[in-house]
Amino acid sequence: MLFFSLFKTLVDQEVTIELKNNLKLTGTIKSVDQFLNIKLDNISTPESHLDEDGDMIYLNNPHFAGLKNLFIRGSNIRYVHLKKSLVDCNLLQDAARRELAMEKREEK
Amino acid sequence: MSSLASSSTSKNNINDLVPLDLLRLNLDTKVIVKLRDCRELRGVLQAFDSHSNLVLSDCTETVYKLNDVTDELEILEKNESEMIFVRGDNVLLLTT
Amino acid sequence: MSTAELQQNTPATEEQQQQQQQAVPATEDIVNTSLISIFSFLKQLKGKRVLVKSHSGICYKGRLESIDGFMNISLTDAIEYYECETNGILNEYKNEIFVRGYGIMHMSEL
Repeated sequence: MLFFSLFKTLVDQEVTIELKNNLKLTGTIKSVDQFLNIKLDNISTPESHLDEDGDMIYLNNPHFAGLKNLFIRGSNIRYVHLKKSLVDCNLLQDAARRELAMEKREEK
Repeated sequence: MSSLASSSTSKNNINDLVPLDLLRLNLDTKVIVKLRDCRELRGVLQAFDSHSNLVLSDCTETVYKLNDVTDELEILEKNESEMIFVRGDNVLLLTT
Repeated sequence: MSTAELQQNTPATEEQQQQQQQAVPATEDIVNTSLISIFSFLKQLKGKRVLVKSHSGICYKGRLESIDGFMNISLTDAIEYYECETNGILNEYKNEIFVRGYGIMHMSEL
């Protein structure tokens, strides 16, 4: 639930999601669920995906061109790049410790 | 939790270390994470959960490629990220 | 001498004792008993040198420090090689390593 909570705090913030098929999408998180499925709005493509003329390169995924918003199944995500300013590191570390302690107690 | 763990650890001491304790002890320290598809991350561990989803800060991603001719590992890409969430199913191994 | 007395006189192995202690009356747990004995077998490997092979063919040799219900493991003094040690050692880890359980195919004592 730790990362579900984290992503809930990131709603309406801009992130870059890298999928397992190497596609990178920058957009605003509109909603998220417990499986970390993510609804992404106002999609743009990071610079590394633009060609010299500024057009988007969608290599093996031409059907992605022109999409404005997207529902991403959580299992297809490889990375989510976040802005450091949006995350409280100490809070995150404590939450991770607490969650592990809770799981160990439940097991017992 | 899986039934395997919950049904068999009933007489375990809660102080027994589990592998995830290694991640807990390495919170806020620099770790190396090996991922699927010849990827490696080096960064400061900020969070983890039981699926081994991770958050790393000040992270460098290195993508390797095996050269078929020389049989050597080459660096294909290097990327920096100030804060990165890694989905657990990519994770193979973590060390310091 | 009855069989009951005989059983009392034979020193039960640690595993038998464990199983007796864990014996649960509920019938739905019968299915789980094999799982319990597998997991307690794996827990007995703690502290011993083990060989771990993953689906990708990468093998790890090291001392098993801990194991959990996902078969996540942590190893110390681990070495890493592909399929066979004669292929050359890819890595020697000086620090403890965490290996995610999902990719593990088998594990054995050395």
